[in-house]
Amino acid sequence: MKHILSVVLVVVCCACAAQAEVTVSKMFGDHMVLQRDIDVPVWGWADPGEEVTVEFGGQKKMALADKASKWMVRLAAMDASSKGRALTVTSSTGKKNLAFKDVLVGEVWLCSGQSNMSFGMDGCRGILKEAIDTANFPLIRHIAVAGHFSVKKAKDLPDGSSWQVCTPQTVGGFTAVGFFFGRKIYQETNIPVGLIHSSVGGTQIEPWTPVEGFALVPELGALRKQAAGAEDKYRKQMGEAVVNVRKWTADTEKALETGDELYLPILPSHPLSKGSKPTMLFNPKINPLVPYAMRGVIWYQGEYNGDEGISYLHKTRALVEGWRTVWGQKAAKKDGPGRDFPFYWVQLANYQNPSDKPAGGDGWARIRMAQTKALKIKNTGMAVAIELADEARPSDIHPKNKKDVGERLALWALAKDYAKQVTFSGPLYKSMKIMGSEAIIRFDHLGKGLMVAEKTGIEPVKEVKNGALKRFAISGADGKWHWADAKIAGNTVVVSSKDVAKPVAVRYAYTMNPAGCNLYNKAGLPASPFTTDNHWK
Amino acid sequence: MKYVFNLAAMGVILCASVAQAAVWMPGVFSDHMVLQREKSVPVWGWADPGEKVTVTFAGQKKTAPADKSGKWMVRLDAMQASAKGRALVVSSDRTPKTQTHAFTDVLVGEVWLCAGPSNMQWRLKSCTSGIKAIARADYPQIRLLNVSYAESPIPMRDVNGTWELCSPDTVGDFSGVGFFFGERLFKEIDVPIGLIQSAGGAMRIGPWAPPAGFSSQKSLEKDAAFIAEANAKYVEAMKQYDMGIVRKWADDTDAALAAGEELPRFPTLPKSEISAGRQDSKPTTLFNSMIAPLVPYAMRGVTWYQGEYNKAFVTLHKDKMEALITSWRKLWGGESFPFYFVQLSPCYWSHSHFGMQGTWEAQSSVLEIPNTGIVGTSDIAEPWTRHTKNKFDVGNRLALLALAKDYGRKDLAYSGPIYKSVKFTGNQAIVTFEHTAKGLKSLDGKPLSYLVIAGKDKVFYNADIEIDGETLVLSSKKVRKPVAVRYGWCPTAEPNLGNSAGLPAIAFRTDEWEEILSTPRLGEWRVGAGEWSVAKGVYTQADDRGLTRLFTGFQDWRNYTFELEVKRTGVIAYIYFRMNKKGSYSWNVGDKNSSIQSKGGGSGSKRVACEIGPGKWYKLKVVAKDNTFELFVDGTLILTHTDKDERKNAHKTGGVGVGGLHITAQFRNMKVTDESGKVLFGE
Repeated sequence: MKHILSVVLVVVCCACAAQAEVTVSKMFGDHMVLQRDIDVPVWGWADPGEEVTVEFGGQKKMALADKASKWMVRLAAMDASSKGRALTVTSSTGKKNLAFKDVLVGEVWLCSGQSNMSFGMDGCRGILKEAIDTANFPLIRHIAVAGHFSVKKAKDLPDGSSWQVCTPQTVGGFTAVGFFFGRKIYQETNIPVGLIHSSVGGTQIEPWTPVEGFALVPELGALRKQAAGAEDKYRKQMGEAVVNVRKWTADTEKALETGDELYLPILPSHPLSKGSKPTMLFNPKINPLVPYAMRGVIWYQGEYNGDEGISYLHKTRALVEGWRTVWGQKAAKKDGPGRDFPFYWVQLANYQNPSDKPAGGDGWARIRMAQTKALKIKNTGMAVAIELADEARPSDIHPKNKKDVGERLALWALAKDYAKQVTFSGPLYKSMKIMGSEAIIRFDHLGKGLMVAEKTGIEPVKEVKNGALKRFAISGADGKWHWADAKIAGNTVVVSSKDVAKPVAVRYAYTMNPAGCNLYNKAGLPASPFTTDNHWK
Repeated sequence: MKYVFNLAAMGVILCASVAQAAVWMPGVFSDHMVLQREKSVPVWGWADPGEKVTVTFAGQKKTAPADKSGKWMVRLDAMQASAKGRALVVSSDRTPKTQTHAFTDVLVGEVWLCAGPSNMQWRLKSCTSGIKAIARADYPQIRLLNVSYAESPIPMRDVNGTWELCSPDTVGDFSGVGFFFGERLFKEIDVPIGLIQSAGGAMRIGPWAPPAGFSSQKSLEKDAAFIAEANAKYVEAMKQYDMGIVRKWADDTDAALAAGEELPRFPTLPKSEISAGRQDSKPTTLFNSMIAPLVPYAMRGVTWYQGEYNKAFVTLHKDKMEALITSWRKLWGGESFPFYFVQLSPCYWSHSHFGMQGTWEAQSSVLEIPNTGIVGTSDIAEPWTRHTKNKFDVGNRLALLALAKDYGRKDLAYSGPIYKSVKFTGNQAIVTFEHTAKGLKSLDGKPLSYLVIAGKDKVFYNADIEIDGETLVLSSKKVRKPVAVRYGWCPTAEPNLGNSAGLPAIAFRTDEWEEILSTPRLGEWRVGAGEWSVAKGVYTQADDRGLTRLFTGFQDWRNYTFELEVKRTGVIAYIYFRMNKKGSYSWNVGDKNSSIQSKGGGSGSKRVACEIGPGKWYKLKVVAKDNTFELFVDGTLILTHTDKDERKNAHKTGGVGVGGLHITAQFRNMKVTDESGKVLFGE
């Protein structure tokens, strides 16, 4: 036994050697932005029991590293500050001290989703070159989170993720939607803005969601089971595989002697390791950010769940509430950030060649409804992008106009989080009333009234006086759809067709690419596509 | 240290002896499996040499001893279908009960293997109407075995994967083709269905064939020799390998499992030369991992979704398919089981500029092998992708084949029209078909398309067509005496000939001309796709339905200037240069923008604003010099691009071409000159 003990000692010593330095999560670095108006966790790792001190903006906070070597302090809620200050971390043993410079206090937003969020400013060089050339914003900062699919919850970011100051030279690598969102917030509030960019192209929503999220939504029982049981299942299978591998070593040695045919052992693959499985992107790309203090989230995703209807609504709830749960933010001020942080997403843009079928329902029509319906989750918002695809290249799944997308998202934040009096949403379908052969449609978010308008490229929306509304369709009890005559009447749209004596349902822009759809409110924000029936589910 | 070592050594011996005493069975046997009805059913595994293993199921009891290598196999007698889940119990005269097997909920029905690369792997959840299909997929009588994708240089005994009940929870990641096929079968014949999916990866056939397949074909002798040599080297490498490393891994893994710690990585084993090639050229590797462990699990037959795009391999395609089909059948006991496959759909992005006609020709030739069948897809093509998402029709059409040929549904029209014969009388070509289902027709109600005829000059023209019940009568004013007919013979064709059952005809040609695998000619030009004609030096392209292309030149052209004039309307015109088998550069001409793009290698794309409006003639010029390309419009340089990625630059040389996507266009005064001003091509 003595000998075994000595082996154990060696192991422990190795552990000390590995932890000899105080480290800070890579979320923290030069040029970072800390969230104002809420307690700010700062964390890292040190020898168990080691005392770590963090100093910033006149505050000095201490914490002990726990048994798992983790330490965390919380800076008390601060006011915004555009002055770059230093944040220092010192350890009681004095082995290594860290100092981050040029640290601001302002508004931190997490930008996540799939390729349309990944889409960098470089990709906008064509139509939005000016935005790049003029991107001298020393108070806007951006950090891109590296990393890809993983079954393991990462505790820290991989190397190569660092905060950058926004300049024409650096902005090319920023998420374009995030940049235009952040720029608008900054220009309207004059407060530093920090953008945390963590997205992966071509991904579904499920991998971004933590187990905690699936657990909150009863409809997603199967996904929860899949995610939660995966590790146990894998370890059980590995236990069986070890037996088989031992048999294989014996079989192989025998076969090499006798000249019999060889074979190879198989090892189980982790149930979550293949494809776009639940939690696989939360683990490496979101978990290491938790609980970095922030205002909220903007999200652009759905193309890879494009065939879905109501299931996407459930999944959105799991994502939003899952992130809110794991973050566990506690409000420190009445209007400051809190637990139920805002979550604003982009409704999928028009895509592919326009359809000429009044029934629609094709492509992304249903998921757009699900995105709209998901607005009943509290503190959420949605930017409509139904007319923002590049006109000449409708089959480009990455429309270049990210300016309007980002700015439309920013309107939600300005109104809801920064107390600006602005119209922040386009018209959203509210109700339908049938009057004889006419269907009267009412909307929320009328702003100063409805209008027919058109949008070209990045030009502002232009009202078309006396223009005819397009892309409305109507059906009767026979379920056959006809293009409808639609007119703005006060705060309603009156929809009818000579082919439908008794209307039952109405659709607007309810198709993959409703090119030409032209209902706006006077603030220049487009109406969301809708169907009044349950087809979308 | 001595003590530690001893402990570890004892651990190994203990575990090893336990493992030896167990009756081991491959994963293809599991709870919820389906056994094939009406055939003898092999059940096998490994035990100690000489150990007597007994299998009991459905009132049968079969015993067999393990051979010298430890392998044992019994055969259950043929059984009737049974939807009742019963237990299959495996016991032995030496192994304690706890180490034997009792599989529960075992059904008897129809088992099909669904194999092939990515189109067969395409998940149901990513198919058109897949989400709806998932919602209704509560079919406890359909069982799925989804074999995890793996590659191996030598045959495996086991697969990752286990039989599951088909349900909305399990079916989403299963093969869409496989599911729709099985669903249709189940609804029609109402017996349990077992679907085994072995799919993914390489587009080529080689990885799917066993070594014996290669040695059976003369044209594949080289491959067979390579495989034999690589395997011999591999055995030598294994002899040199220290198995202690693997045993240590096993001990470490046990310890980590017990302690709840992170598991160690499996050590790296010797590599085989077979696995060293590109994915497409790793012969036998997918057979070894995803087919060999299933042999000889009793089944009705195979559905297959694969075809090779590369012209160079066309002639080999049939040999390879024959090697694959006959060797699989041999391994499964020599029975000529049905092997049904899917015609590849028309596709803009076939690997070379030389089209898919060769693939179709090769696929059709496979029909000469007995008990094979093909389903057409030309009417459901999504030519912008290699992975059409409509797997519903594909699966259903495969099921039609099976229903008619294997389940006695003689009444069913199960195939689209397949070319039978042609008779040339005067200026007419009269084409007859099999599988007309009492009437040919246009599937979309529009005039029949992509039917062309040619005289001895081998120049094809669109035919005037009459449908005469079950034959087609073709003629053209431009062809006095036709000698050849082609249908759908263009890589991007979405032709519309079908039969009264709504099933599409299979593309065909009646001639055996050599340039067949390429395309009709128009003077010095070759027609890649589209409706081209030439008059007074103006080349007109009149088909705006898809991708069109006209090309010429030689593979070794390098530095040259390509001048031409273009007038077009529609989406985008392409001016190709450095066009070779691997790829090309194209100048993409839109109304307001021009861009340069590389395909099949090369780097970067650049875009500039440049007005080249519709309906007007413009003079265009491309100067290609080494890796730098300059584009001129009416004498003005609009774009310069240097391909800096020499490594990836797959097209340093090659010919020129014109065409477009959804356009009608005219081209004239096309000329290619080399650096010295010598005319390489042009009028």
